[in-house]
Amino acid sequence: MANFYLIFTSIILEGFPFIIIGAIISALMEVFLSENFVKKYAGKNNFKTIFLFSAAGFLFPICECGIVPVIIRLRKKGVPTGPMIGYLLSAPAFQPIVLFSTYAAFNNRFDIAFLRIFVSLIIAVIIASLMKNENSEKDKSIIDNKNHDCHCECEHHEYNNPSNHNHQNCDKTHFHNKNKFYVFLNTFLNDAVLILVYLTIGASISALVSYYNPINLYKSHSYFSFIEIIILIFFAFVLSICSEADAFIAYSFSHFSLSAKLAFMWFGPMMDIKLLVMYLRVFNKKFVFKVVSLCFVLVFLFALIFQILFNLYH
Amino acid sequence: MNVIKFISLLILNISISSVYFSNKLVKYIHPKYNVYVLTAIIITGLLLILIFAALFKNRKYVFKFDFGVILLFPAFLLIFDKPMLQTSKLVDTKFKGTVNFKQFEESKKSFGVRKKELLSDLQLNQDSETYKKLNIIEIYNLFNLLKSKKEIEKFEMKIETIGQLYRQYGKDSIDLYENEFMIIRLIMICCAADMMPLGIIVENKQKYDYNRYDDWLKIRGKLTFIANPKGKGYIAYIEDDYIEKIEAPDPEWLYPSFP
Repeated sequence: MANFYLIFTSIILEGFPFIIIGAIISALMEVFLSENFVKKYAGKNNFKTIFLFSAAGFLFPICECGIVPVIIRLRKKGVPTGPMIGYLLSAPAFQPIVLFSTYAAFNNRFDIAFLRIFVSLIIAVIIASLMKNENSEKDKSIIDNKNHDCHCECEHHEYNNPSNHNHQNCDKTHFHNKNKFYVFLNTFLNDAVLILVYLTIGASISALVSYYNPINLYKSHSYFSFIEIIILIFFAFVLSICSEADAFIAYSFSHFSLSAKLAFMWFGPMMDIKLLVMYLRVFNKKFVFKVVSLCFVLVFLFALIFQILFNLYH
Repeated sequence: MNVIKFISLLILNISISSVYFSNKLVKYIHPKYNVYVLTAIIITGLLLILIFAALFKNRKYVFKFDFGVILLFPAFLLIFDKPMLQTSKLVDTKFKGTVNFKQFEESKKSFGVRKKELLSDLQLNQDSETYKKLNIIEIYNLFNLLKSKKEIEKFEMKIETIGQLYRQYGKDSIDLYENEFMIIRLIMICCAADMMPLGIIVENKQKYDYNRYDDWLKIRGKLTFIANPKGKGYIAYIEDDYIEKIEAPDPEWLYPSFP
């Protein structure tokens, strides 16, 4: 168990600073980003906005832990599903830090580094375009209520009971705090704790599975390329390694093909155990299942295409 | 504001601060994250003070059960648990007994150590009688500088290195001769979750008890690179002149840095 505790706590410690950063950005967005501004510049659910949001990760990089509170806030402000999903899936991978870490890990090869980040962007744009009209809300009334940051401090409010959340029926003096600083602090506290809780749950599952892994990671499956790809996608999901480090882990899988290693690097930043736990908190199960399935299918297809082209030309 | 959330985050921040200020953070994550963790601790601390002031001033708070109490679990682990790792168990279970060897075709890969210094080491020390102190990453960086099979097969150097004793047993692992064992170090790229073992084989002429897994050993001897009999690539090999049991170094892991 000593090994489990070390791995589990290391994931928490590594994620902590970036979640705090994400919570601060989210709180700032709550205070300073108006819904009108969002509707004017990011309110369209079309391909152009999806592409711009997906590519925005290069200028506004954020790791997969920190991005969840930002996404919660973007959705509350009215950013449509397509651009939101595009940014969510691409920002952890389509960024300069990941480009250079992949370059360093793979023998100073820019071709692999560029392939990694640009295919991540393409996959994110495709998934966002396919999912743009899907309903991502868990339950509209509950979402309205749970995320209802009226900052009201009335003790008789039932936060989880939509039918009782009615200011007009309230017979006590409300304390609707419109003070921006208070709103910032309240939002920060709620978002930071929420995401840290889900990180804790995801990290414990990930530490357990990655430590007691049932498959010999280093076994060669070179006869069946598609099995290798599936194995490394599975490991990207369970290991929950951050996108800055996964290139070195991928490189160390010396018995696996380059296409399987690329699949590992494409899938991991988009979907792993800890992210799945966080996403299920924010989106409904059907939506998350579709996103996971699309991530898997597209990553697998791209890896297979790469393998075929690689075999043809080498 | 929910007081339970405030208390949970406060306790977690205190526990992370205790790890940071007792210099134990490097046991969990790569030193490159130190500045981020410190910044997060300070900012969170300041914001928590402001939240406390807001709670006190407004006197309008909620004291209601919240799942934020889950944060107390990692908080108490950080305060009370000692970060001890059983290296051999980790390699057995997570890596199924396989230690990551460097291969010939990876000869251009470097773990970030400056090539110029290593090249001068290579030129000066091959004929030297003194033992050059190198860690396992530096040993394989030397290997990366060798340009041809001929150079690899001719290479030998007197070195001193340290590592934990391990004997590989997995299906795809190297068959060791009766007395041989390996010494390994865990390499951390980001955090303990991604640590990988890197190892070299020791001939064990000194007949050290190779069943004493996880013993920290200092080894002096002649370093060569031998062909991997079970597949491609080369493995670092030490014909030992001296083996001594030592205390675990602090920090225990190796942290490659990248240019």
